[in-house]
Amino acid sequence: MMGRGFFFAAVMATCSSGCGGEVNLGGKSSDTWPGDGKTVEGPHAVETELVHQLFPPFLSSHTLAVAGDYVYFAGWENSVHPALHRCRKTSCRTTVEGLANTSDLIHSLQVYEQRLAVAAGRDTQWLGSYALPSASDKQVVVDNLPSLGGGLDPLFHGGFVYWSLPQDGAIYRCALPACAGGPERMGSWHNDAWLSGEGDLIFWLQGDGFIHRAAQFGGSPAQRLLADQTLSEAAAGDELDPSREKAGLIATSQGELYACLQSTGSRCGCNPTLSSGSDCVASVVRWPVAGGARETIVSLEERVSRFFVFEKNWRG
Amino acid sequence: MHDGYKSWLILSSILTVGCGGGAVDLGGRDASGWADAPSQEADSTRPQTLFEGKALVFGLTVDETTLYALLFHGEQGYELVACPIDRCRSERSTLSFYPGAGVHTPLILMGDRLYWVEFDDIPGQGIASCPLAGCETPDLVLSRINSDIAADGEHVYWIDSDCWLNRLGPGSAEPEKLRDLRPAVLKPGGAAAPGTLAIAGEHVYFINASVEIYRVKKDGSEAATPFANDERIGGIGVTTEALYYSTTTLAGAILSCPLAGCEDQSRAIATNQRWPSGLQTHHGEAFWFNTEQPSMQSARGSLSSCRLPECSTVKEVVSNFPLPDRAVGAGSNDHAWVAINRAFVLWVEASEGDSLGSALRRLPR
Repeated sequence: MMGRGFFFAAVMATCSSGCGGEVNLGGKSSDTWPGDGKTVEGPHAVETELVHQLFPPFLSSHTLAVAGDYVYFAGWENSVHPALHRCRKTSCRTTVEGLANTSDLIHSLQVYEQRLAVAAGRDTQWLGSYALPSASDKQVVVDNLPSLGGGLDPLFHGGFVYWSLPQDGAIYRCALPACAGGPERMGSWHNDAWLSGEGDLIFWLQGDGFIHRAAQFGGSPAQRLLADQTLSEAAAGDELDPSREKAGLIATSQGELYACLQSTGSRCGCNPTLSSGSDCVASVVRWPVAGGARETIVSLEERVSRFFVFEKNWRG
Repeated sequence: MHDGYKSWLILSSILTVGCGGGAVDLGGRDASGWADAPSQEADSTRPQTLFEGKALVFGLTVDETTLYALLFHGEQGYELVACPIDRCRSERSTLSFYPGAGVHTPLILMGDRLYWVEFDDIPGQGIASCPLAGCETPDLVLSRINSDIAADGEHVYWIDSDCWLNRLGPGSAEPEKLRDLRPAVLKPGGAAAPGTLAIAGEHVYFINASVEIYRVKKDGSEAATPFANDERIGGIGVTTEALYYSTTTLAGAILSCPLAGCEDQSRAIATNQRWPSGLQTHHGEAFWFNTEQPSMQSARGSLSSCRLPECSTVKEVVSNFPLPDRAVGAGSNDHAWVAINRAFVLWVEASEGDSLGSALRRLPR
């Protein structure tokens, strides 16, 4: 299973965001802070360490990023002031510091090209980046956007930023650093437009059950892919058979496309769209991004609402 | 009734009493908010305010000399006014003042009457009209209007909630139901949701469900036929040769189609427009709104234009003003916020921080 590199798919069941406004790092602490020692039950259990308390419940898994020696996280310092923080990975609790150059509410963080890429803003949103390690040199790619919608993070990849707009039902891209030529429409979506990129391939979901893939950083026509044993391309005009497996989440890393396939299995009462859908069956699988044999990484008898692919031993 | 209306009434009363019936000058405006426009020589690049006050401009039209506007005064109802474009403060007349509440509507001047949609709900209640000489109560022709309205100089056209094409001529007390459009537009899995109308030659063109444009003979003698398909179509305008429409998205565009047929002939003539809406064509020029800052609290935008048919240069007529409609992509009758004649373009702005206020401004073309 681990033959394609030292990467794990981390599956976060049920709790996709919020999580009480706490920043936790895996690993046990000897101190006793509120929230310390929380565990995720089951075969993938981890113990957690509370390192900083933000105003709940506005910290989310969308607003954590790791770069170099630091963990970056954003949220509300109190009920009034949004804040961006960083701490050292090896001694986070004692090194948390606020970064002064951000007054906007940050909705997502991503490390891209040695910069901290963000979606930020209040009444309207902007996409751009700050220089690392101290979040200086704010650069705006595109601004005055309406809300991107909860959980729909933009993707910075390959010299572009990609995002979806609920108001338009569309996926856009802008060339970095300043969106020369204006936003380009790349595709449409009708539900959750999870975006991911690998090489010059851009992947997304758009609620129709297919995985969509477009080469040349989204500049080529999109292909509709089936989440089957080989990631095969659907024939033009085909509708997805409701009984087939559907990808609910996707991510890419190191030449692999990861997907979380969710289904009712043999159980009654599963509704994968509801947070209470605990009777669902999920599996995390992966293929080579260009297509090839599917490999199952883990199967869970739980609903999965978000998952990540990250490097093992990232704490360094 | 909306709490804001009560506040408006109180404020209005204070203003009326305190100002002695409109004698106080408010920056060139009278107590009602109307102003006489300065001469054109003053500054042809700076917007001139014709009205700014505690009323919502719900309908607007102009001919070459006269401005007509339908103002909503909250609980007091509607006021239909007319004035010479340069002298709205000094020579304004109220054509009608009547109770009602609703939403903004195209205001159409045809012959010696003004026509608009009367709303008691959505769909609309009917076509209201008033002679230019004035009326105590507007005439109302009942029809559940489910679309925009448009006129060709002889009739006013609309589509009702049964999806019939209707028209009304001067002096008529009953709408003429011309054709059932459902067989054409109601496809399996589709929606019959007519929006903006435009008239060119012998045809009525209308947007359906924001994704297709149909055309139908004005007399209803032939079935409606598909004319164009696109995404999020937000407005249409016509000339004698072409139909123009906007795609109302972040990366929106103005596109043109020959009236002879649009299949494979659709051509983007202006791109990188932000949610363009309210498209109008007038004397060889197209006008539309862009939503530059799509905040629900105070959406701001611009009014842009270009010369047709090529639209080689897009001009920002006026920028960064509070849009009258705060929804991104806005509604099917956004063109009602703009009125154009050979000399001027006039537009409506929202009042920042006042949900029952608006402004009407103009610029020379």
